[in-house]
Amino acid sequence: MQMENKIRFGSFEAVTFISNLICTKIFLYYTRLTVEDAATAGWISSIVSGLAAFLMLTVLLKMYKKFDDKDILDIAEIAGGKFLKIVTGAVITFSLFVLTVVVIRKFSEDMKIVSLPSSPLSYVMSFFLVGIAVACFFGLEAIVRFHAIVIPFIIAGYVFIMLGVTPQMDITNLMPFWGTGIDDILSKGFLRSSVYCELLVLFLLPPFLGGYKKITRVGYTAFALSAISLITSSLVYILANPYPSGMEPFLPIYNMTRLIAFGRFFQRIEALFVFTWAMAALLYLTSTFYFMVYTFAKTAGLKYIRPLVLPFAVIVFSAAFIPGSLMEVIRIEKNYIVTVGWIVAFVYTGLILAAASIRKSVRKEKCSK
Amino acid sequence: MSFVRNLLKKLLFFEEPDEQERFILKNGAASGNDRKMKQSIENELEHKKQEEGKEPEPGDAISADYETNLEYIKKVYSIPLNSDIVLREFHIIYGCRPVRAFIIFFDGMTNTEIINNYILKPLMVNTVMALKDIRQDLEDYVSRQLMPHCQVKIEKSYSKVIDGVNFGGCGLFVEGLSVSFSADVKGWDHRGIEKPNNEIVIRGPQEAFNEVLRTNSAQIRKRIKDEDLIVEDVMVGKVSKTPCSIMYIRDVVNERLVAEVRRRLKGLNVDYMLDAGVLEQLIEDSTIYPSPQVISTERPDYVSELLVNGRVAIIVNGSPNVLVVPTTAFDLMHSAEDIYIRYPYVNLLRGIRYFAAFLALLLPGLYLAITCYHHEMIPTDLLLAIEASREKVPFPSLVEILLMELSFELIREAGVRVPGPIGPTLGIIGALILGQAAVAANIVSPILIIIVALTGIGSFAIPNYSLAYSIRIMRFAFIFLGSMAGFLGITLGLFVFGIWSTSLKSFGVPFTAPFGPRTSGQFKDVIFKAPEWKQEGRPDYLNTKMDKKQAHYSMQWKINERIKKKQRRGR
Repeated sequence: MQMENKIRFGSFEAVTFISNLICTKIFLYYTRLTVEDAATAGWISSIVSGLAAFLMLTVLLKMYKKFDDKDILDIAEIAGGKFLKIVTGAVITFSLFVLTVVVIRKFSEDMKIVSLPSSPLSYVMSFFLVGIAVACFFGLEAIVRFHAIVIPFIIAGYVFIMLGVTPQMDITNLMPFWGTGIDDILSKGFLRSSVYCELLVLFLLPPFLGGYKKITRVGYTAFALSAISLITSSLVYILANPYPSGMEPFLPIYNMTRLIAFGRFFQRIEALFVFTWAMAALLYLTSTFYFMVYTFAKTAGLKYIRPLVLPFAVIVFSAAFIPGSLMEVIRIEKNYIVTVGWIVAFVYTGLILAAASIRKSVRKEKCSK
Repeated sequence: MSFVRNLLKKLLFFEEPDEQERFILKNGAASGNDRKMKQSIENELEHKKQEEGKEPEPGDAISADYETNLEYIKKVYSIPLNSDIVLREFHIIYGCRPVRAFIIFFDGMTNTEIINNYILKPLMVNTVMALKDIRQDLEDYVSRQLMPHCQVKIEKSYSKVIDGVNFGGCGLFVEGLSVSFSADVKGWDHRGIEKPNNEIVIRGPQEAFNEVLRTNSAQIRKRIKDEDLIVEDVMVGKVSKTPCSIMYIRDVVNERLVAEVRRRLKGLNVDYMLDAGVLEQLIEDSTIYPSPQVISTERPDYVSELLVNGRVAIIVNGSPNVLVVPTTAFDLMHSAEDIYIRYPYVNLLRGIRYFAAFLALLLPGLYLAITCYHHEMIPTDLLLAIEASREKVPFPSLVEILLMELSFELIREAGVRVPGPIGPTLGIIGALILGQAAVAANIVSPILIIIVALTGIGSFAIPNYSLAYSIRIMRFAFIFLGSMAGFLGITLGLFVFGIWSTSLKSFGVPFTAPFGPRTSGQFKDVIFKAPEWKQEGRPDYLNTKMDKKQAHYSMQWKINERIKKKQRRGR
């Protein structure tokens, strides 16, 4: 497959694509993380994260205005030539690589615990890996279109879970209102703006989406959809689970679905949600994996990305076994991804955009002289 | 061995892919100077005119010498070895002198009554009675006075006459003329217009296509009485020379689509193409994708409806099925009856069809996944019932389900192959006896019989025959995936199949449109159907010349005079 700069897709596809990238963590760890950060005020911390991310996104989009149709790699090239392009490519490839490795390991571990306890981890992981590799062979156009079809179903499943636990909700679970204190809410809430770090992919989409206006529209819509989902998930989770049980480290939303019961006959329908979160995981992993390969290929000036799919899949598969246990994966996730993710996604991107803007205006001045 | 080597080579080493033509159906009016637009309908018309007026190649030109023509035709048709070709020599009286002539036609393919009464009789008998001096030249005299038949062409090349004769025509060669007269006198035996066999409806027309090209095109034309309904002829097959027709409504269809259909048909380099089924496989976008990417129907009313929406139909002579392009995955779940019945009924039926497709595709796989990996989701009473029924069965669930599925497929195939009324009987008896006996012998559990029966019934409820086949094939993949990893395996199957489907195109239209990519009109007539008065637009993804097919207020009788006046004033 050739570098697919010729393909274009619509705003709806892009919004579902970005939203799924941000929201998949709801199924993995997000709700538990907010409880860990601010206890019963986790949902307020979630709002703080949203606001922080919104501010940073607004600044980035304002700075991006000058670079219509260019992605972050091209912008890095404007800012610092080939060298900065390579550095930026390496940073993005590595970030997406870490995200892919951690999420594939986490989902495989969770899946093994939930439904395949006697299967080896590598066996479970290979299912995800096959899905990713096949999807990447079919290309970005197919991936984003599939998002447009499937995401409404995943949202429906998510809403169903949220509504299904209504009988278990207790308003007193929100007390004490400020949780572990305003300081925690603000400081950790700000750090957790890292959960929006996948917005970085938005700045790789311009060649496929076109125009600044479209990028802005997609960016804000995807952000709004994701923020609403993250905040509601946190709020519903806290309402349905008392603080001690909310700290359970394993698959918080899955545990929440176990509370759902409809009458005497339908008591254990949580297995059905395996479809929802396995599909969300496959879409997430496909997206990060595709853009990891794409960024690598573009940075290295390669014409085709298909030959890279299999080697990268093998590398991801091998790297996913580096963490010794599930707890180590959770530690990496907490200490690195959701703590410093915002630096890569927002600060680094902002610096590149700022440097490129300065370089551009200097060039303009020189030209006018 | 070489196959394995090639496979490994393809997997391990990268080869730069060949540049392939990748057609995307863009808006026809968007730009006028790309390659596709150069093949517009106007250009094709010009091209056809030029073709008609073109002088023949030197070796192909008809000679004025009678003997040369006679020898040539005898040699081409291997006369006298070829027994069904008829070559009849006779004299025409022209200006009181006999002129030698001969006709050539195939016995059995032509109507000999027409040849006798409207070709031979005027040429042989009426010329004797000509009393006045003939001042016309011979060519004019024959074509204007002596051939009282409605379809006569004057041809300058042997190849065109021979093509005509091969397709049930009659060629007339006259001494001294370097042209030949080709009359269309087709008269072979064929089926009449009968009721559809496979696409049966309760409401709506009861006519089906037959094997004759012109009867089929006429069946469409009698429904769409529009001079803009174009029937373009294309020959496919170097040896079979199968006549095919491309049909479209000129002022509706996207010209790029017509150009693409024409390009694909003209781009076929095959010796034989005898049926629409073969043509479908030769022009579809993906040959390995299990589902069909072309609509194949035996109903002229359904084709007419699709043409009005801006699609293109392809009729193949000798085939009772007409192909319509492009199609989407959702079109394959539509039935011809959906046009004629009220929309609430359509929606009920479509809901049932989608449920049937779900059962046919996933039920056995889900059963395996639940019983092998997700027992917890089965309510205890039901779980006990299932386990009790499986207690004496010695096989694992996978073997059990494969045994039953294969037996079901066997009965189905045998039922189709066994002639006449024995077929369905065999199906029912086979299923009953086999199922009952298998349960009694503790080979399978009774619940599995229910699963397999529901799966089978589900596959029968799918309106598109080819789609039902593809679902039957894919069901086995889901059985294996369900047995390998439960719901995770099935999710992976759905994911891969979904991504594959979204990557596909049918004649430039994304196969999963209008949902992936999203275009307008998703809720008009895609999965469910809106009321007839709401069906204002044509499918957005077809990029037709005319977006609307009915007025915003199609039920004008409902609007009172005051609003009508307002509307008129507004216009």
